[in-house]
Amino acid sequence: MRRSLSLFLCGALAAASLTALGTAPASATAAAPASTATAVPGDPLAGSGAVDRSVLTGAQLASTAAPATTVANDAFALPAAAATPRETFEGTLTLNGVATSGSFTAVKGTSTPARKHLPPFSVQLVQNGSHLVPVARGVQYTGSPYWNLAVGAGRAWSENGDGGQTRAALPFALIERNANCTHNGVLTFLFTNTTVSNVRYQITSETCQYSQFDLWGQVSASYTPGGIAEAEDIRNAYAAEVADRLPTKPISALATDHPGAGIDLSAFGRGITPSALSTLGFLYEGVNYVGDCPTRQGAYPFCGQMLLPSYSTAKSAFGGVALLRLAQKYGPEVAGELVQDHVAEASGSAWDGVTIDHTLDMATGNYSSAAYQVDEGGPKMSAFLGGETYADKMTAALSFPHQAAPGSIWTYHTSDTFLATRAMDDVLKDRDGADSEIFAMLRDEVLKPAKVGPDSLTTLRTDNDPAGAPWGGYGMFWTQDDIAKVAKLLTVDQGVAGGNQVLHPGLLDATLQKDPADRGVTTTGTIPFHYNNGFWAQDFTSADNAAYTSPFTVPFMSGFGGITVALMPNGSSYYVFSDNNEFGWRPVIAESNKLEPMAADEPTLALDVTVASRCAAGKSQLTVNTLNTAEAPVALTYESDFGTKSFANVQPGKKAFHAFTTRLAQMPAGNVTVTASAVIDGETVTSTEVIDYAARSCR
Amino acid sequence: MAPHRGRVRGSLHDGRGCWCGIRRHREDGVDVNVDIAPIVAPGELALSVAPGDVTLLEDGSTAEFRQFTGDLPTVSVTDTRGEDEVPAGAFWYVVGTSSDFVGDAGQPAISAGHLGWTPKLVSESESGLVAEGDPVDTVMDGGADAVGLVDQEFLVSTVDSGAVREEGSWSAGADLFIRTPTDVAPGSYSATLTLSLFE
Repeated sequence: MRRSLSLFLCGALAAASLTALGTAPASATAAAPASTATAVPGDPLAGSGAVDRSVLTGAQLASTAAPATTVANDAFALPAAAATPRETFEGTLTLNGVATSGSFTAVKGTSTPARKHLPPFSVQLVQNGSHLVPVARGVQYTGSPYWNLAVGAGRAWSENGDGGQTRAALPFALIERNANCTHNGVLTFLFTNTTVSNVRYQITSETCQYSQFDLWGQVSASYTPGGIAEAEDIRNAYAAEVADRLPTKPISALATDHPGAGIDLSAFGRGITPSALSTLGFLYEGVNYVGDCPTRQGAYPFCGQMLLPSYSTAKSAFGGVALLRLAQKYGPEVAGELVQDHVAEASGSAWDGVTIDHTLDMATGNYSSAAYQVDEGGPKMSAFLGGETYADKMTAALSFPHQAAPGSIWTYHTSDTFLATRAMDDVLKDRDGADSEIFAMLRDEVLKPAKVGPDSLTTLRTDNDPAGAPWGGYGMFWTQDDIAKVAKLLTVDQGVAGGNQVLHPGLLDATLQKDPADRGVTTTGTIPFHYNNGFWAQDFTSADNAAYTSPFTVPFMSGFGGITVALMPNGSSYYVFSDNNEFGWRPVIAESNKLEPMAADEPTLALDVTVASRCAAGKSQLTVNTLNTAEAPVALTYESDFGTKSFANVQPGKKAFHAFTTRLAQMPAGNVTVTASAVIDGETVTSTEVIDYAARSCR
Repeated sequence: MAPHRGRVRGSLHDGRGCWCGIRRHREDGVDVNVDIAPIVAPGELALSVAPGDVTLLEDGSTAEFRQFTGDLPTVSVTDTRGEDEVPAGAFWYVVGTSSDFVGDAGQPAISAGHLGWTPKLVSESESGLVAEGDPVDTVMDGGADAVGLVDQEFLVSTVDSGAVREEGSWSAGADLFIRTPTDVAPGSYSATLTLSLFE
């Protein structure tokens, strides 16, 4: 009889006969080879195992009575005194009888009875040290009419009170079928090499604007050891995954890391109802400063693994980024490809001249209402969102009538990003072959090189099927680490991942509003935003905050219910996931501006310009006189209604005077545009000023 | 085909009435080839024109019009006044206007509207406070300035006489051009371009 050896050598060893507390026998015993997998950073655990536990004890887990209530989530968390796990789990865990088990309390919205249960729940797990890793990551289609499932990586450890069994806990998420709503839960059980206890599970939080509930229960489970051929690869991959996570600190460390800046931490999350907040974080100088993951039962114990829905942030991170990738591979001309050349169903004249760029900009010219977001909330979009099959989604996407020239008016449609993604998929197949696929390209050529983890490498698809068409405009998932990495790729890394420029730099600049010649389209609505390639952007000036001494623009992603990812031009990013339709993020801009100004106060051309008029020879003359108070020679241009005058080289301290002949005895009021440019500190600096002048009468 | 010549003679006139007061700067124009330098009395603002006629020669004709070009003799403004002799807020300027071109054999006159110019500073104004006038196009051209040297057209002006007084002298010239229809009657024509200095 051998006991588990140290983690480096542990594998499924001979079965240990330990005190059984209502455990179910395993169906087979398989002796796996000793593991030489890379240890996960932080392993092995150093605790003594002396955990003072009163909630979810072994005895409580052995009970066959349904638990009356949910419990504090910290009962599922790795305790401080956790000791190295004595056993190693490797095989399939199946929860029994879930369809008829479980209790349910609605918090918001209604649910049919059949919906109030877990879907079929069977997962293959391997263990690396104290880490319990599902073989399948990301969304799994269960076949349930209501719920799909994602299981995340959890922990395994030993406590002295567990009678030699090893304790395990895993985060999981229920994902509403044909929707992006994500309900977050945890489960826990005790196991040996051959046995597994009942499984306690509970869902006590979500990111879902319209349906919020607690769902909990305790069911018996089955453990089928073995049968995972790639177990060692998964162990090693998980160790690398953890090693590749961004340095992570709590959000409070932002103030202590930058004590002089005077950061007001209350700005983070301001404007979001606390019970609606799923999580938030702030990326700065390569550190992911993360908030908690509050639930109705305290902090979520696997906050770093908590699955968050993308909603419409996918329009940016999938629709937009896919275009940036295609442009890098094949040239930015791909944005000009016509949708009707790549989507067979878009054959009508409504699609004449509509490009992929128009579609990603929400400016196809096909819409029912031009008013802000009316189509998005209307019946055609309901049909699109409610349709599960490819045919239903495509029909709805093509149902908007032609009303305006492409590119002329912004009308937001999630279905447009779906169409753009279909077109881009065909563009990719034309060049890369029939086996290529647009999300696979994004995943393998952009997200994976950027070290985005496996929880965020799947997307929801039509027909509830992994072979369906990706939705494009929504349907992805994030964790705190993964969304921070996407933000980092787009901003500080400038589209470089794994040492390679994976995104087209010029188009990325335009997408982030750094190209004055391509700012996309302007949205309708009370506050005008820019919208370019699936990314929003807002302009800020000193009118918003006196500290913004130079104007700047913040590109951002936005998702249904209260999801924002702000990509600030000083290299920091802020993400917040919430579900009460609250989109508060602008206070964080002011705090980030204290760390580093959003816009470098550029060397301005301080010029002294006087515009006046006078009478000479019976007519008005319009005079412009500029004193070059800069330290470098300037080139000046005066543009008026009466002509243009340029001076190539006005020396510092010198003036440039011109009198425009108006030929008018009565000159009306007007303005002169003075444009100046100079090379200061090696950089070309330009300034433009429009100066008004009064009317002049020379009679 | 015989070359077509236009003769422009420079002469000086006193300024006509304007609200700002009139300075009379009188000098007789001389039609013989002799240099008579203007005698500038101490403390005066004066205008002088380099001696000589201007002959415009055909250059740049197109299918639409015939074009003749030449250079205006350099026009100089000098200011030897003391600081307290310059009225506050005054600004001097030179304007030009042309008579019609009269032919030597009874041809129809070519109106002054067919004469345009592009003023240019000849001396670099250190201060940058002296500006050449805007180009004037001929009636054969388009745009707001296609009027020819009919009315008083600015050759050069300053923002403020007092501000530039110390520089003392400035020179300007102009590229002259006549544009006529292609069926213009051949012959020798001459006109008088009058330059006037006002303040």
